[in-house]
Amino acid sequence: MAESIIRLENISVALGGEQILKNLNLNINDKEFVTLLGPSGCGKTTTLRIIGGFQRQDSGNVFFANEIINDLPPYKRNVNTVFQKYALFPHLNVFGNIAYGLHMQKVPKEERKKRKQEIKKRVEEMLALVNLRGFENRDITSLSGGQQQRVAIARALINKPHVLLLDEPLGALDLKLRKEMQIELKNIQIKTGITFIYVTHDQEEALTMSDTVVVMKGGEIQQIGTPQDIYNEPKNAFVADFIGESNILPGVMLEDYRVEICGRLFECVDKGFDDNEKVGVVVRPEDIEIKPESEGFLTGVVKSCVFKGVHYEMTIEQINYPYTWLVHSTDAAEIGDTVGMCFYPNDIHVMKGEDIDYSYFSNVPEEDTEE
Amino acid sequence: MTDIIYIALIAIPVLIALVLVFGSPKRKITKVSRIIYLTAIFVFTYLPIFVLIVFSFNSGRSTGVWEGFSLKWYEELINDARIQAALLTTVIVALSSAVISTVFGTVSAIGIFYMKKMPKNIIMNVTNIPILNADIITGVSLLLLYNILGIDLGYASLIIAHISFNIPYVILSVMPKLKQMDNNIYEAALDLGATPTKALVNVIVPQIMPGIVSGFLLALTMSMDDFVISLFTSGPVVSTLSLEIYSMTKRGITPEINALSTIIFVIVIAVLLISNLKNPQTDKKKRRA
Amino acid sequence: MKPFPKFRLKRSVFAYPYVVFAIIFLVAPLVLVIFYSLTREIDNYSVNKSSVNSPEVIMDNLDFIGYEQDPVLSQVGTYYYDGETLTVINYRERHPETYRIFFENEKISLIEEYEGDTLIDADLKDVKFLNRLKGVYFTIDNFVKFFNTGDYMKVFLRSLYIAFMSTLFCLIIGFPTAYVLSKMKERTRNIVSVMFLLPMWINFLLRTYAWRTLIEKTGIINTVLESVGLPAQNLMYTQGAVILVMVYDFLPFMILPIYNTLIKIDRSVIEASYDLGANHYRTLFRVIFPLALPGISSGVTMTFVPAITAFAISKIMGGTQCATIGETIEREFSTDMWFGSAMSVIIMVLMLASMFLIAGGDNDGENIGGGLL
Repeated sequence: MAESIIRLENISVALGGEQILKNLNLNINDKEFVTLLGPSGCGKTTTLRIIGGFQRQDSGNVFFANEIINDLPPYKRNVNTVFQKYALFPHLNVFGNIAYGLHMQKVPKEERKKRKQEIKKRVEEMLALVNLRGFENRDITSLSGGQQQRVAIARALINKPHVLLLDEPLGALDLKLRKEMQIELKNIQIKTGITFIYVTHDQEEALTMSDTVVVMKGGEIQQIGTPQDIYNEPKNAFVADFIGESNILPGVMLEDYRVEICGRLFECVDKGFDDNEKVGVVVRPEDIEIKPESEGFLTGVVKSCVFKGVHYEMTIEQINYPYTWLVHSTDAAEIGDTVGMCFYPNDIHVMKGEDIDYSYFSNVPEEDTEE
Repeated sequence: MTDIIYIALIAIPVLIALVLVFGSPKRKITKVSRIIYLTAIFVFTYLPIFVLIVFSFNSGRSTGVWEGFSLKWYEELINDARIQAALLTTVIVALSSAVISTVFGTVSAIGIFYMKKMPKNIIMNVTNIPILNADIITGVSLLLLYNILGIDLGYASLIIAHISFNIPYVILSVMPKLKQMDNNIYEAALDLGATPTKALVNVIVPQIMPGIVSGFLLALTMSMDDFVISLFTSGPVVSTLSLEIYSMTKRGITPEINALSTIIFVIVIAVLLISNLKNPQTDKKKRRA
Repeated sequence: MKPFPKFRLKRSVFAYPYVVFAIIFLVAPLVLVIFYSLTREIDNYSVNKSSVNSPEVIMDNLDFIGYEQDPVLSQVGTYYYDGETLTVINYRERHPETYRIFFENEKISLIEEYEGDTLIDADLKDVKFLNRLKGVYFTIDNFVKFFNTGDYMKVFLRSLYIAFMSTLFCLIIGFPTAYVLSKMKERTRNIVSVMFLLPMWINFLLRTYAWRTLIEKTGIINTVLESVGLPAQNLMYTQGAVILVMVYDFLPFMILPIYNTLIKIDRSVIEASYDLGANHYRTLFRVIFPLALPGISSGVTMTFVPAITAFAISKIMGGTQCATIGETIEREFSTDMWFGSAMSVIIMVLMLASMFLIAGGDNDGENIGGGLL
């Protein structure tokens, strides 16, 4: 069993009259890559700032290795941060920025000379770690976004923190660079064995890098789990919708392993609900197969079909039931065709569903929920 | 009636100039008229200064009638204890008030920057008072204050008065630099182990340095050039250059004071040229920042 | 577990000394001016020292000083005056009460209760402080005097006119200058804008005086005119001369704020205007001018305010015929600070009103002062 390194207990924060965090409880284990994921305003950055010591919670406790650190200022916490816009010191060069943390440490007078050599060595190590060898004397303003990012990471890692906090560090980079940095960050995490707490609103980033994903909304944690859990077994409609794309529709759990959707009976793998309980049903678009009209469980009319590279993204309006399905398929279909759809018990995910606003999750083609 | 003639004399050429100056930059006439316009403005600006410098070399007593070249007034200047004392007072008051206001103003600006919105707005409006207020009212009101508090007029009252109108300039030139600064930078310094004091000295101050420097220069200039506020707050004994010149305008100015101004002017130009030649790069960067 | 030190991120404490400073040296003086403008000295307040030779005279004058309610002094008793302290022996109480009489300018300024040794050591300045605020009464006479005296109103209106004309000319001359400057290459315009600031290093009184030598009756311009065969002009001691020098002195304060806003205008906004089919003049009036308004308004304030109260310029250039309100305030203040304060308050109200009009109710404040920087 991994050891707990950071623990948040009943944390509440209000800023400017608005409740940002509501009674948050979170445990983060040592050497883990944890991602706080959620839409903007969900409280993920505030959570990070509380761990970093920049924000004081109104109530609750922060534990670091089982010690309360509520009143410990940032400069005494064994935690370092990579800031959103890097927050590099523009008046210092690359070396100055990276060495800043070491310069801040108190050193006895007699060791000063030796210390200089050591700082130089450590900075070089860090530059090697982030692939920036030979950049010591460069001006910060002369670096590209990706290079600044690396300097920010090196600067935060040089003090050998127990925990590294990253606040949407890749937000300002272009897509290709972002993918590269994702892999690199993961490698750095494995190499150094430091706990990473990573804040992002990009679900793909969260799934790619994390050991554990914490999905947040409105100051509350929605679900904690491995990327696989989160994707395959979303606890509620919000998580299902936020992570990947999904079809969310109302159903009735007739008995264990049997669920009724769209007036049809389906077999599924879920159990433990009351008989005839109203539930929400999630079917991922890529799990739906397009078949000829006669072979499908459900039939519908193709409303749109867009080529997305790997697959076609289709919206299919069901016949006899007011729901529009989102389908990812490698086969194209003509708009206006009537097609059959089928999916298997494994692909159906059932969750509690009394208070889901289904209209919000409908896949009407005009609506583009992506930012 | 004479006013109308004056207005016509100035307004008509200006209006013609306006039409020409604001024309399309592609047309040659626009370019030419812009250069002519700017040259005219510079002639207007530098004509009195040129006259002033020329007459510092006059051999006669007049600052308006040329009687021949001589360095007589420069010699007089070296021997004039009164003017030298006034110059010394001016420099002491300007330097000390500029230094005090720069330090005090910078620290205050940082504090104000981190205040809550309401008190911040109030204190910034108060800070604007001496800049917006007429000098004479600032001077008169300070005189009343000294009177009430029983502070005798002299060096102390003069320096305090200068500090009180210099600080706002420092605060107003430091403030924008604080606003431009990424707030995370301060937090980053704390995060890396700097105490708040260290973060202030190591990180915030270097960031706002251009603002501090321009605030200091502005304070120095304002202090050197001030006349009205000094008139009310200096008392009978202490006299600055401005006050000395003012009392001379009643008796008639001798070219001696022209000589002093010429020397100051030449020194200022020399300092500017040297600092520009030395590092034109950093200067350029500072302006852009 | 070690107790951690309490941690506070409050950096606003750095401003607290300044808040105190600002209250004393920026706010309090203005409050004082307003206080003085609404009060006058009680005329009978002072009693001549030369006439104070007996306790009876002091007692006679007590009414004026406001001690008639004093339980001891107002009672019948025997008095003894030794030149400094007044001793009253109350018949009923049977023990002496001693008062100290303060003189200022040979007049009784205050009578204080004398409590043993303490008052002897008391700082006279404190007494002065009390004195200043005690011997006054509230009135609007100062304002009535100003508005009822034709001469003051004449001077006031003249100052308004001169300040308005100076500001207008500054704007007409300054805006194109700032515009042309802003269109120059960055390096050139930096040098040129410094050149506009350079004259400020020559004392402004001297610059003003230099104009005098230029336009005097026997001045340089007239010498030139006569050598060409034109008649000499009588330019000195006219309003025109005052306006000319004001425009000259305050022009940088108009150019710099406008220039600073003009160079901050996003180029693409202007290009968008051209792109949408506007020609130069239209772009100027529809896009550039409105965007430069904050700079213009701060320039106008920074010119108008000093122009209305300037007194050295009008004294040097205008002589006695062109006396301005600034000169009047300076002169009156040395003889009657109550009336002088009232005039200052009138100027302050006028300036606030004009600022409010110019800024269009935008009380951000930063635009106005910040424009120069």
